[in-house]
Amino acid sequence: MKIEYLYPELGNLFGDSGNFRYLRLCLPQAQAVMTHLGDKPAFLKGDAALTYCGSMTEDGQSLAIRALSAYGPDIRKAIDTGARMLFTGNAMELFGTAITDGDRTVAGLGLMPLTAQRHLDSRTNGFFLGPTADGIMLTAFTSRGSDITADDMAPFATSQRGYGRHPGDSREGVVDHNFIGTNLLGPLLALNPDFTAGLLKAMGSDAAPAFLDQARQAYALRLNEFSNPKVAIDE
Amino acid sequence: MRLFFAILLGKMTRGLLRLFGRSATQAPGVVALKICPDVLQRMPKPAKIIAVTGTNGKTTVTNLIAEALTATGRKVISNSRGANIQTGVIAALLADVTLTGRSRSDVAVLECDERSSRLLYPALRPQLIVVTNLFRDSLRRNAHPEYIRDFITSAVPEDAVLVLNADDAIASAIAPQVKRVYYSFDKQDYEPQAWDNIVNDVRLCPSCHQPIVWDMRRYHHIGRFHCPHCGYQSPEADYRLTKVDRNLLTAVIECHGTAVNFPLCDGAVYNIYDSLTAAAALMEFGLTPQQAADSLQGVRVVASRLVHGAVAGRPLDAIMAKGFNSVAVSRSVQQVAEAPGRKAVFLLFDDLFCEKTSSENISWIYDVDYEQWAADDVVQVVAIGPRCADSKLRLMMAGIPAGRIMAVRTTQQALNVFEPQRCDRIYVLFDLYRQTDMERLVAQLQQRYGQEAAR
Repeated sequence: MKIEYLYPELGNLFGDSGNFRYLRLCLPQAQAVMTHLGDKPAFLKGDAALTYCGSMTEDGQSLAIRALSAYGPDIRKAIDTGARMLFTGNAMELFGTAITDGDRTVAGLGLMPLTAQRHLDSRTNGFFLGPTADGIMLTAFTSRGSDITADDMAPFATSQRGYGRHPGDSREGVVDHNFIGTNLLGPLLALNPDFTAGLLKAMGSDAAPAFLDQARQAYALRLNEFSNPKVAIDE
Repeated sequence: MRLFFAILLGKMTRGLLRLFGRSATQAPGVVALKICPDVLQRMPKPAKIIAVTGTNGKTTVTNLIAEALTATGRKVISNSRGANIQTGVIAALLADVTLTGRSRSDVAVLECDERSSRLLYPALRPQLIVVTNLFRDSLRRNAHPEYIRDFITSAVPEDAVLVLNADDAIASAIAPQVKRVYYSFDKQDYEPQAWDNIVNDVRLCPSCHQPIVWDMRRYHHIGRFHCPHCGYQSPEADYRLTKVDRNLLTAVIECHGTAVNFPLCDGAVYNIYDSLTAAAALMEFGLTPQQAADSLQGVRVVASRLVHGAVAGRPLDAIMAKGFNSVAVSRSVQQVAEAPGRKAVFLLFDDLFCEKTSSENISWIYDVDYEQWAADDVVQVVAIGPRCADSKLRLMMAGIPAGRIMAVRTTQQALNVFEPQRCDRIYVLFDLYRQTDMERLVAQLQQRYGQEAAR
């Protein structure tokens, strides 16, 4: 089995590289493929069980869009035919039509009906509690300088407490076939053993999440805390 | 009139607070700002202003410069206790202003929070802006270093002179249109091979975005590189630290063809950078190399940041590093990893301020190089605080066996799980805002296990 880290030199902010490191600990036998800028992504060759990409800088987004734009139709085809992908933080914004930043607009890959609106000087912070469409309760964090609008896309999760795609929208992230895009940080996989167990199964592995007992213990404490209305979403 | 009352009431607030033994590092500034929103711009200030900013080391560098200039006989005002946002800077300057509207000092040396640049620099108009480095810091406020680079750039006055770290490709790119000098620290023979840090925010050439080649990488993105594709390279330094004597705590700094022996405030690599930064700033301020070296003689790191003691006959070092700041914590982690003997470590990083009302975003701990502690010589790690279960998971991911990691919520519980007989040295790594807890823990450890001198 191959697991791919797309642009590790870019998509690694806010602890997000921890998602891939955790995945490697869950799947010690898997071959980890690091796809750097300029390399052809492994998922386009159809041999990645999961492609991961994490939060990046705004300049990093532009570089990634430029690098991926050479493969636009192929990426769409890969997603349509079931390529499994997890893009966390602002990485999903690459696939949208546009990222607006004040008066400036950065064109996205245009592969999904999604737009992003940056607000870099007033970041959105807080924790997140809410279920995925499969009913798995997620505990995670948000720290971002952009919102997304994607009304025609299925959400990844629904917020019970915490921020969704944008103010007033309880839908969080997007799902497109086996593509998951989510703003949730944590890292998401280390903080949510039940979700990770489901992801591993969907990837065709019967492995359990690494350090499952400890991950569950930490998750249970978080779940309890985030469910407590006296605990504010943000400080 | 408004300015007069802002100064008057600000000074009265300061006087009252100090009467009751309070530090008065912010409140006078809050009062003055409330009365006169442009008080910082309009209030009397010393003729010379040096601003010090950057992610790590700015308090130390501010104190070094301020103490060195004081040693030259100048009257210096400084926010030496780290109150570095707008109200803290106003409070510091209020202490210096007379009611007749005069500044008492010759020089202000002001630590400036990066995210306060736009409020501070246009009002202060500093002649020198000294930048230590730019790393990942609180993701809540600072996003990422490139964002902070651009944020500072937007605030730097055109007529300032920047004193920049040539070994930091992000910080050295601040405000390219503004006059600047660079400092750099040569690789020393004794320095170990750079660790493979999780965080390295300069992997691509800033000019052509192709992979760079490191000629020397000290840690994270600190070092010197060149781009084989376009020829871009780290800037040449005007002030170059060429040789360190760790026994004598001295270093040779070359500037404009002259080599001078400088004192160091401490032997840790980040403190060597702090001494170099201060020396470069002092020379750029106008001191001769020898005057700068003489003025730094005897100036040491503020005690609260580095505490030495003993517990159960073993040396204990308490090292402060900002929580939420994965690079600062990684530096301390490396310091522990490189120390000889078997080590036990207490971690006091959970943000209790955040925990008062909410729950801390712990994603930053996944950027800390805890992997450096996977070796057998780190015999016990005690994670203390409300996020201890998360910390334990992170430490296990780093390859530290679960049996060596204790997760406890309080310092009292930490005492009960600590096994001094297993270690030769003890470390307490603590956040800026956990100093009281650190002091309590050290006192409790000494009470229970004795504080006789180190073996």
